Amino acid sequence: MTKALLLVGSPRDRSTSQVLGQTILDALSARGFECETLRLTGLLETQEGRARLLGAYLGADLVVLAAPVYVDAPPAAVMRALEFLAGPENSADRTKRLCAVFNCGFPEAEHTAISLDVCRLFAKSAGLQWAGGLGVGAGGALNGLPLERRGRVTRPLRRALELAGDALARGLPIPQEAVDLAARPQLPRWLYLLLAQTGWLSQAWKRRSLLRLNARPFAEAPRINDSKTRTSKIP
Amino acid sequence: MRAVLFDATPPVGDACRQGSDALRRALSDAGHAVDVFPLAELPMAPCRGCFACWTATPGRCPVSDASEIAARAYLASELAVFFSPLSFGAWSFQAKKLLDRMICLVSPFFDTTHASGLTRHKPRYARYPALLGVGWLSTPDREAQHIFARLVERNAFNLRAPAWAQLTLSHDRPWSAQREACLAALDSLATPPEENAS
Repeated sequence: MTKALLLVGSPRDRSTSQVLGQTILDALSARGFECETLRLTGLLETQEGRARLLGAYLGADLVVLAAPVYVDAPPAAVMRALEFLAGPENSADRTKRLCAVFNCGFPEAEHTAISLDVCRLFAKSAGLQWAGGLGVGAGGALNGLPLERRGRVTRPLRRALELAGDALARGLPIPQEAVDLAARPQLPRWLYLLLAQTGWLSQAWKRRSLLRLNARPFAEAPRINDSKTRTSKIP
Repeated sequence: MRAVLFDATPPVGDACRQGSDALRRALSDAGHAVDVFPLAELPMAPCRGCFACWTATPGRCPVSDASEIAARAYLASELAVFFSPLSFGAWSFQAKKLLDRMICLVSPFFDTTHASGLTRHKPRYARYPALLGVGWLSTPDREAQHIFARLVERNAFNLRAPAWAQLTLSHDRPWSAQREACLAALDSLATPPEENAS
């Protein structure tokens, strides 16, 4: 049986990345794939976790990476996993495929482009076939909830994930139609930004920090600490 | 100029130490007073994605570790330099761990005024340091270099750097040429202050 491995790069329990990746995995499962999911956060901290990741990776025919964009690139936990899996001792056979789906909190899906290119280069470096990727903007609108619960708003995205799953199941790369649908704004930009900023205010209200949202705790001079060293002038 | 160097050189026997050394020498020769953070040696947890640094303890990550000292030093500097071996064109895990923790330095609110049409976060502070990104490649790789150039440009855009530059170093050039390349990049940052990130 063909095996698919979903690697989730989000550290959050209620994760939009998990929802997006799982939707692709469900499409693959419906087409006869044997599916497994691993969350990358903390996984590489233990020998057992590393062995688990490596075993699942080497045994998979298709790897689906689903992650958020943090500061313009994949999160640190994803970078650590990619560095680990690209090690020379973990060389994959050339038939293994990789695809990725990234979501970002900005309304424009364009912010995911660098992360997708990083994964493409990882695939090249690790000897995998790059099966393409999806970039999703306005990830905050999904907020880790099932896509169906967002109704019509997520219809193009659900269609994109279904198209991607179907193509991947047939051994094809993710089609351009799916890429375009995934990148389509789920909400008008102004509405998403309004909702997102209202969300920050709401969270701050609940956490009793509303009046301190623009605080500048590091505006004063930095503390001297032993963990940093000032280099002397090199003669 | 007051500079801070976040050095993600792996702790043991890595070839990129040569690039780190050339960069440090260039910083010194250019007359910068440099605070160095050897990232591989610092206790720093990865970002939990909880956004508490925006909405619970605004401007400060609630996880207290070396990232707070690094963030303070970043903000207090006029030039922030990141050095890292490149992983598939991007910052390595050690460097990325720190960058992920730096979102506390910007506001959660959005700014849509840039001519590029891209959204970014509003600044939290009145001023930010210029940014120099230096990547190390064991062998030259144009694809990785291209991704890295875009990444540093985008980092500068989102971290509100008033000026930025990037370069990649690799084994194919001698140490002296690496130092010269670093000096040229530093020189390009010596005449900011217009925002050249796009």
